[in-house]
Parts: sequence; C-alpha cells; structure tokens
Amino acid sequence: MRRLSPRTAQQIVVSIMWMLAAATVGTLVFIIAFILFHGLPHVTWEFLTQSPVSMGRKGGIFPMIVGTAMVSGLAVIIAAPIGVATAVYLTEYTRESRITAVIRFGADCLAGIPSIIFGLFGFVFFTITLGMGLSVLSGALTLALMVLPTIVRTSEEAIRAVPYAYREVSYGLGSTRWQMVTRVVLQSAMPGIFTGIVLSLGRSISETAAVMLTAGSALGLPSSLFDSSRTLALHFYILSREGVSMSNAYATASVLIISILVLNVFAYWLMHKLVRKPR
Amino acid sequence: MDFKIQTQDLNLTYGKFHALKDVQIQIKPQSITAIIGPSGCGKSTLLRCFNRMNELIKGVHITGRIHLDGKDIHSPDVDLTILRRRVGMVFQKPNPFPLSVFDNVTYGLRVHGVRRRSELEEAVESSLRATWLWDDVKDKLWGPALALSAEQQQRLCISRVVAVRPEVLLMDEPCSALDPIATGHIEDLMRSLADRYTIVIVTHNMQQAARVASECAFMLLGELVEFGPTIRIFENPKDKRTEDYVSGHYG
Ligand SMILES: Nc1ncnc2c1ncn2[C@@H]1O[C@H](COP(=O)(O)OP(=O)(O)OP(=O)(O)O)[C@@H](O)[C@H]1O
Ligand SMILES: [Mg+2]
Repeated sequence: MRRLSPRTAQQIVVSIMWMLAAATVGTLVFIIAFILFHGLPHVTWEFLTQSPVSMGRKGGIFPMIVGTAMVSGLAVIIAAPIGVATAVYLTEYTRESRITAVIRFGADCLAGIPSIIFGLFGFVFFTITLGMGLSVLSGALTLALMVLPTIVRTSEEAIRAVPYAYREVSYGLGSTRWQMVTRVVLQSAMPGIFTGIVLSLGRSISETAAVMLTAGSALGLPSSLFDSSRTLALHFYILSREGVSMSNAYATASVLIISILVLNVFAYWLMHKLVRKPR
Repeated sequence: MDFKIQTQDLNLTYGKFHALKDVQIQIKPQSITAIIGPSGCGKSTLLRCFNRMNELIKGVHITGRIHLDGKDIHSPDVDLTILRRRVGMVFQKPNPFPLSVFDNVTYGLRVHGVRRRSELEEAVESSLRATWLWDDVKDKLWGPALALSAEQQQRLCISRVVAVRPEVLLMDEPCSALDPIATGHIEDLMRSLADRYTIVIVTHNMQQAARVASECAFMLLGELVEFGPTIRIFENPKDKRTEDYVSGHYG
C-alpha cells in the first residue's frame, strides 16, 4: 500500500478534527435552537412579569426569576470572598505544607461530589438543624458550599499564573505583603478569578437537585431570605416531569438559557472594562 | 571616607550551599561599582543582600554585617519597607506591571502612602525625565506599559525605582535582555544617574564594567577575589584568578 503523502495526511487529520469540533458545536446549537424554538413563542411580557396560575399551567414565572436571582446571587456573594481569600491564603500566606495539601485535596473532593449530596447536607444542616427551613437562605448557603471549591481552585490557578517577578518588584519597592497581594497579584489575576466566579454563578443558576431540598418549591414571590422559593431550573424540572405544561416548561428553559448567555456576555464585557482601565 | 555600603564577614548559605564566603566590600557613594564574575559565583546573591531580598527565599541564612551609611541593615529597628525604598532594585528582565505607564511609575509612591494627584504627576514627569523616557511616553502615560519596546520598558523600570527617591540603585544585569544600541543608551543613563545615586551593577559583560564603573569587584565561587578601581582590576590585577578572568580565560 502506498503511503499517504504528508500533505494528504495533514488534510485528513484537519478535516476529522474540524468535523469533531463541528459536531460538538452543532449539538450545542441544536439543543439551544430546539428549546428556543419551542419556548420563545410563549415568552411574553406577561409570562415574565406575572405569577404562575394553577401550578404553572398558566400565568408567568416572575417569582422564579426573583427566587433564582436571590438564591444564586446570594450564594456567589457568600462564596466569592471566602473562596478568593482562601486562594490568597493558600498561595501567598503559607508555604506548601501538609495543611495546604489537605485544604487543596478537600477542595478537589468537594468539587467532585454530586450536587444532590450537597442538597442532602444542606437539608439536614441548614434547613433542619439550624432551623432555617426551606428558604432562600438555606438554598444560597448550600449552593455557596457547592461552588466554593471551584472558586478556590480557579482563583488559585489565576494567582499562581502571576509572574513571580511582579512580587519581587513590589517587595523591592518597599511594599508590604498585603499591598503586594491587593495591588499586584489580585489585579493581575482578576480576569481568571472573575471567570471562576461567573462559572460558579452559572452553575448555581442551573442547579436543581440541591435547591429543591433546601430552597423548596413554593410558587409565591419570596419576600425575605427566610421564604421558600422555587428557582427557574427547578420550575422547569417540575413543569416537565409532572407534565404540567410542556410549552411553559420550554418557555422557562428559554428564559434560563438566555439569562445565562446574557450573564456571560455581560461578565466578559465587564471584565474587559476592569482590565483595560488599570487603576 | 564614608562608604555608602560596607560589608563585614558576610556569609550566606542556601540550605547547605555556601553561596557567599566572607565577603568584604566597600561601596562609595555617588559612583558606579560593578560586580563581575562567572555564572553562579554569587553576584546576584550579593546584590540582593543589600536590600534584604534574599529573605524572601526559604532556607537562606546570613551572618556577618551589612552597613548602609554606617548603620546595620539587619538591626531590629530597621523598617524593611523603608530600607527597600532607600535601596532600589532593577532586575534583569524588564518587568513592568501590566498597568499603565503612569501607574507603574507611581506604584512605589502609592505603596508609601502618597495620594496627592499633583505630587504623583510631578514624580512621574521627573522620574521619566531622569531616565530620558519622558518625550517618548508623555502622550501615552495611560497606555499599557507592556506596549513599550524592551529598552523603554527597562527605562520605565528604572523610573519606577527612581520615583521613590532611593539612595542606592542595585542593577542585576540590566542590559542582558537588550540589543547593543539599547545597552549603550542604558549605560549613558547610568552614568548620568551616578552623580545622584550610588549604583551597584552586576554584569557579565566586562566591557560594560570597564565602560561604566569606577570600581570593580571580581567574584569567584562565592568569594570576593579582588576589589578596586576598575582600571587597576583590568590592567593590573593582583590575583592570578582575576587576571585569568579579565583576559578571557574563564567562561
Ligand atoms: N534560591 C536558591 N536556592 C539555592 N541555591 C541558590 C539559589 N539562588 C542561587 N543559588 C545558588 O547560589 C549560587 C550563586 O547564585 P547567584 O544567582 O548569586 O549567581 P550569579 O553570580 O548571579 O550567576 P548568574 O551570572 O548566572 O546570574 C549559584 O550556585 C546558585 O546555584
Ligand atoms: Mg545573577
């Protein structure tokens, strides 16, 4: 058999890789298009601004939008400072030791645990033991625990990628460690840290199992952190699983997908602004 | 004569490795002193002793004395941040922060608590003028420092140090990442700075040492072999090892 010329081999490999990439992107586009196709026609202004009627068969999803924003927003507000602080501590304030190894190992283990387990823990600990009940707060705390490892690890990577030379220069100019960390390291690592936080926000928004067990599935508009609230993802799950209304399920999914897309675009825009204008 | 920096029986070990052995050096104020020697002989290590940068490294142990203006820099009442402000350092690779030119130059001042806008602006102009960078960058003070050429970046790094008004400038092979023309410019700059600052430069380039330095130290395997006026070191070395090195018999 004649051997392929390097040129032909190259072309074959490139086309195979192109097809694989196209398949990945294609599947994604297909799923999104499918849901938007079935869902968007039902996404009306009323749908976005009204409360559900008869378990979601009619009416809108306004309380779920509010609930999702509260639960996920609060989760990230809690997890981000703790996660970033942990990463700073691990990278800048300790030398590698058994303790840092244990913390890192713990974070990796936590990251691999299925969300339902976090849900169960949140249910037992926040909801029952601490008496928070099925509430926005229980849900947010549970999600915060769930995304914490991601934030720690992504921040840590971002911080480690900051060249050692910057630290030397900063010390060389007489800065303290804290000044070095806040003005040089966090500044330079910001894009990476930010990406981790946005990823975590996305994960919190799309989580179902963990919020079902902790934030509950009440249909009403939550008026405080101690109210139960159903998130969009959970609402979608319940609507479709219980066959309440497939069109409303698709419409809810459309809203979910679009908000995650918008969130990502906004995040990247914001990040560019933060990085472009160094102060 | 009063020396700017003076060491006595300076010894430094990295773990078990003895990197500086009984180093005695006296550095004159307002002059350029060069440290030469083959790779790994401890030039950078010695330089980093003068602003206590070696302390960032784990396992470093230092004995002996280092005096700055006659005062021991290791004495407990020395404020490390003030010491490093007085003894500034320029590194081998141009390494501006990924910030604007303005923010690079003012970094040190801000760290030391200067907030007044006018004061910062004044410092930026005078430091950039001191390094002859002002005309090149005065219109791009808010542009990214990393967009400058390598030579401009290195001059920016020198401005960044000059901005905090140090007394001593430590330069560790400041030209090794630059082409010969840029190197010439930096050397001119060093000479122009020498009437205000005490400069200690590490270099692999013996011609460079001969061109800029009035005093020269030759190191070998952690020892300060010979130290004296540059001309004498090059033309009339007392030690056989110095002679071999300056005549090119070592790497
Ligand atoms: N952090 C460190 N840990 C252990 N040993 C080190 C460390 N830094 C330097 N050394 C060793 O100390 C010796 C002196 O190093 P130094 O960097 O001072 O040499 P140098 O003269 O500046 O060399 P070069 O010309 O290559 O820059 C070398 O043998 C080096 O291997
Ligand atoms: Mg060196």
